Amino acid sequence: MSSRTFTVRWPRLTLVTCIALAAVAISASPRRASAQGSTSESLAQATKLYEDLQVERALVLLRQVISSSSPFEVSREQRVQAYTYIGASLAILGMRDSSIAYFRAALERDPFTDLDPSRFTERERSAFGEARLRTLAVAARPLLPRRIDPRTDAIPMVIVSTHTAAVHAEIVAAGDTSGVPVFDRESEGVRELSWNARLADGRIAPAGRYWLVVRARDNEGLTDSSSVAFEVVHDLPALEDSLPPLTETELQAERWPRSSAYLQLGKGVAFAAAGLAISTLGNSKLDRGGHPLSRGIAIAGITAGVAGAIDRRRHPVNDAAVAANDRRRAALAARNAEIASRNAARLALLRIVIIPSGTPE
Amino acid sequence: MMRRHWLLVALLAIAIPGATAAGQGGLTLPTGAVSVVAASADHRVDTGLGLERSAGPLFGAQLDLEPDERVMVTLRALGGTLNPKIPGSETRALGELALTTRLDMVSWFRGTVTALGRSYDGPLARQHWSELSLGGEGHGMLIDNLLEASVGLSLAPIVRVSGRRGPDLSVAGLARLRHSGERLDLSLGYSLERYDFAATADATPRRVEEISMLVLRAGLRIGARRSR
Repeated sequence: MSSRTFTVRWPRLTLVTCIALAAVAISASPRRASAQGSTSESLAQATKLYEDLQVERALVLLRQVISSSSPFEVSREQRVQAYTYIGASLAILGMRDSSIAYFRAALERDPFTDLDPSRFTERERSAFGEARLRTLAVAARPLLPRRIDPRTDAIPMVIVSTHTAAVHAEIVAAGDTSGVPVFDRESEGVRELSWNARLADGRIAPAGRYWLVVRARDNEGLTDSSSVAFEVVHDLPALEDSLPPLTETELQAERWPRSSAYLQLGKGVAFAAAGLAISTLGNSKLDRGGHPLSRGIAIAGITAGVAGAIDRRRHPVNDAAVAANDRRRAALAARNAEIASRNAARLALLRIVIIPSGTPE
Repeated sequence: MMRRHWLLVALLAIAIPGATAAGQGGLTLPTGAVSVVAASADHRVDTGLGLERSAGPLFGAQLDLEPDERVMVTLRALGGTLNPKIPGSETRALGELALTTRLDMVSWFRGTVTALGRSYDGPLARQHWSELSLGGEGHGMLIDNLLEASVGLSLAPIVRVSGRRGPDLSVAGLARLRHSGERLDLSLGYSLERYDFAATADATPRRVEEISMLVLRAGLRIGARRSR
């Protein structure tokens, strides 16, 4: 008998080889992402086993996924998927009540959960249907980012109720308690809605944060509600500010002060004095006999001054100032009308941008 | 000859703004006023031999045209007899034709250009005067929207007097009240014109002369109203 000796020849470790090994070691270190990957892998493996009718083995894996002692992070969607497959597996095993319980757990977490008739049997779907009847859960699907013309387009929305109930859906603005109803009747299952981006009074919804709130009450008095948030952003050219109203300091006083009557009298006297002064333009050699004609204009001036003073007393309204103020107000109104017209043209270019924010609550 | 010259100037002054207004507005009347004028005149002259003074009423007509919001053209004709007011004076027939253009420069001041022809017709001789004067008037409302007051001063750099040299000093002052309503256009004005003639080498003594008038005008507005 011959003995054979095997000698293992280790490859020579070069520097390059060491760096490559270190890189592989670092990349293989456990991380949160790989943990999620493990959950995904478990779910994929369990789904495969379920489809291969190895239901018991699938259940083991699925229960590990939802176990509180699981070292891996489990997302909401993954948990819903696990509950759904557990429910389906238990239905296959004839454990209908347990199946329904797990289906209900899935529906409570995601009312949009449904069983595809091409992948699940009638028995499973029957148990799922029973779970839906026993569970009232409503939800709204998170909105998709989009840009719409508020005059012609609407924002599509999707809500669901697990069984027949009076469903009320409304859009509620942040800081506002009154909503805009978008759905209000008895409903069951998935419903597609739309909102024209307008408030109850017909105005285009101002920019801000909004919620699509869904509430439901069934015949047995069960209630549920859910909401999904989104941002409304206005996309339009900058608008011009209208001009402010004229202030008192910008307008002329429309009433004469009481002293203006004396001013009128003074003007008459000044005019009379001017008339008399003109008579002194003549050569002094010709002064004999005075200038009686100048007295005529002086008397007329004083008379006019007195009449002007009386007029001011009786009619203290400064008609010229009133007219000037009216002209300024009219000019301001015309400019504001032009601004409003330009703004209206710009508002016609308004587009509403929907930005989803957060997850359903 | 001189009379014909002034007549031509007056006709042109009326025709040009009238044609402008007609060209702009078809057959519409030019804006302005047609007035009758009554005046009291006081004429004084000292030829070195003592004061002569004569006074009397004058009557005439006036046409105002406003071809532009800032321009006013006035043609006035006056005539009458001045009677002696002191011994030694003589009766004189006075006739004058004046063409005045006023241009609003700012809201309270307007410049004036006046071409005037005047004749004194006495028992011994007839004397013709012609002058061109430049001046300015300050004006403002004495009673809102009712009565305007204006005070002006003018100098006449060109004065020609038949039979003698022109005056060394020719100055005039004016004070006027005017109501320009929708239909009526009324005014009362006082003016004084002073002329100082220097003594000449041929022993003609120094002569001073002035004429003052208180003029009452009553007119009807014509054409479309302009805001002035």
